[in-house]
Formats: sequence, structure tokens, C-alpha cells
Amino acid sequence: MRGIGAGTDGQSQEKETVMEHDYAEEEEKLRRFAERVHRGWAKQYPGTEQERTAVRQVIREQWQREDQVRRTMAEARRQLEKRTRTRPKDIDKRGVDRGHDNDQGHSH
Amino acid sequence: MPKMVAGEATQTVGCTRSMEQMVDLIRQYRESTDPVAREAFGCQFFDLVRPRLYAYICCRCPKQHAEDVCQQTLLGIFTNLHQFHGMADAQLCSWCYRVARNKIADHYRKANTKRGGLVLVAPEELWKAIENSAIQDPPTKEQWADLEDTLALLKGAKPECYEYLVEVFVFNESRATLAQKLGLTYDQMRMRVQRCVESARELMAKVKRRKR
Repeated sequence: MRGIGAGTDGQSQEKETVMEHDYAEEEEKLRRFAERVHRGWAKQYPGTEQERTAVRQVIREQWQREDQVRRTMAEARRQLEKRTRTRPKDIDKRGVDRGHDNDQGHSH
Repeated sequence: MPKMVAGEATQTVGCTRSMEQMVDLIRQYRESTDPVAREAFGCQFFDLVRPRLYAYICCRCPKQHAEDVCQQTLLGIFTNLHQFHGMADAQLCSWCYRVARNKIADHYRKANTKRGGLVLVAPEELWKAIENSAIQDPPTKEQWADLEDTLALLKGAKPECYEYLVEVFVFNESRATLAQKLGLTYDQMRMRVQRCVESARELMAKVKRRKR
């Protein structure tokens, strides 16, 4: 909050900081007030058993979906690793074959 | 006591220990690798968020439909909770309230009725909640005095200020979300809330002078 006839930007910023700091006590009282209200509401509005059951069901279903995705990705990673491991042997064979093929390719 | 810092960080000024637990709970919920633990964290989050969600919905929807809307909201929150990656308390609250507002809109659409206006929770209702909280955890004499002072200032605040103070401090709505709702910039919203706190301070001082 800039005062009337505030000076340079630096001065008005300092005034703003001081005023914000002055609000700390009031804001702290409001915060503690709110905290008490929340504790009271926790007693007044605890939630129905129907809600809890429905929420637990959603949590379980969400977990199952995520678990399925995790398993699918883990399986895909395993398959990829398996293919990567077998590849070097194939290249060796090809190298040997390539040499034999080259001889065959040339006409003498 | 949370440290008061100017700027964006003041969004967290309305946070309470229970709010910090909420954000931490969400992180643990998302990171849990055990379904039993996931359900336990979810239930704890339910216990923390449900009461204030219900109070929020009651301000925006007839009481006879509030339970139904609240259940729909909770299901919507938990279905998408794994997608929430915010780290600030106010972000979490705003996110939950956004789900609530969507479900309220759905409710009015299905009922084909005109949406009612916002009916903010009255100061008397807030005091009733505080009295309920005092049953098991009675405040000290000094704390009661502070709570009474704060109630007096809320009662004496202009309607616009009362709305801002309740939204920001009681419902922990983020200033950014409020700003968007009112078509203001974040800085404009921040200044409005500060002006409300400033006038609240003047009111508190008046109340104290009257008591002497």
C-alpha cells in the first residue's frame, strides 16, 4: 500500500514491506481463528459412512489401474531388455556371413 | 508460526498445521507403493478435507443438496488426486474447491434450476465451530480473548472485506484464484486483502479501546 506522496520506488517498496510486516499479528490471529474453525468443522461435519466407502472404492480402483499400468510397463521393459541382449550375437553371425557372401559376390 | 514474507509466499499465510499435513499426505499418497498404505493416507486426507469442503459447498448450494454434491466432489477429487502435483497448501485447497464448483454447476444443470448466489458462512456459524473445537481442546483465557477480538473484527468488516477474509483465511483459497474469479490481477487482489487486514486492524484497535 503506497502512501500519498511516496518518494522513489525504493522508499515506497520499503513502506510496503513495513506495512506488510505490520499485518503479521492480525494475519496470525486470523490464521489461529481459522484453525479453530477447521477443528470445529471436523466435529460438526465428519462425513458419512457412505462417503467413506465410496472414497475407499475409488482409491482401490485407482490403485488397480496404476498397478496394471506399472505391470504392463515392467513387462515391456523386460521384453526390450531381452531383445537388446540377443542382438550382439546376431551381428557376429552376420559379420561371419558377410565375409563369405563377399567372396561369393565377386566374379573372377 | 509460519514466517510472513512479502509477495507470493503470503498465499500460505492462511495455512494451518492441518493444511501442511494435507499437502504432505498427498505426497505420501501418491508415492505409496502399498495399497493398504495408500488407502490409509487417503482416509486421513478425507478426514481433513471433507469438513471444510462441506462448509464451502453449503455456502454455494442449498443444504438439502449439499451432502450429495459433497460426495460427488470427493469422488472427483480422489479420482484425480494422483494428477495433483502442487506443493503449496493454497494450491491444494483451490484445486479441491475447483472440483466442488464444477460439481455444484453440474448439480444446477441437472436440476435445471437457476444457480443461487454465494451465501458466505455467517460469523455466528464460525463461532459455533470454534465452540465445538473448544470441547476437547479448550483455549486459554488469552486465546479466547484473541478469538473474540477476531470475531468482532469479522462482524464489523465491510461485506466485501468479510468475503475476502473468509475466503483467504478460513477457506484458504489462493489469492491468485480469487483474483481470477474477480477479474483482477494477482497484485490487485493481494492489495485488496491487505487493505481488508489493515481495516480489520483498525477495527480490532477500536474494540480494544471500547473494552478499556
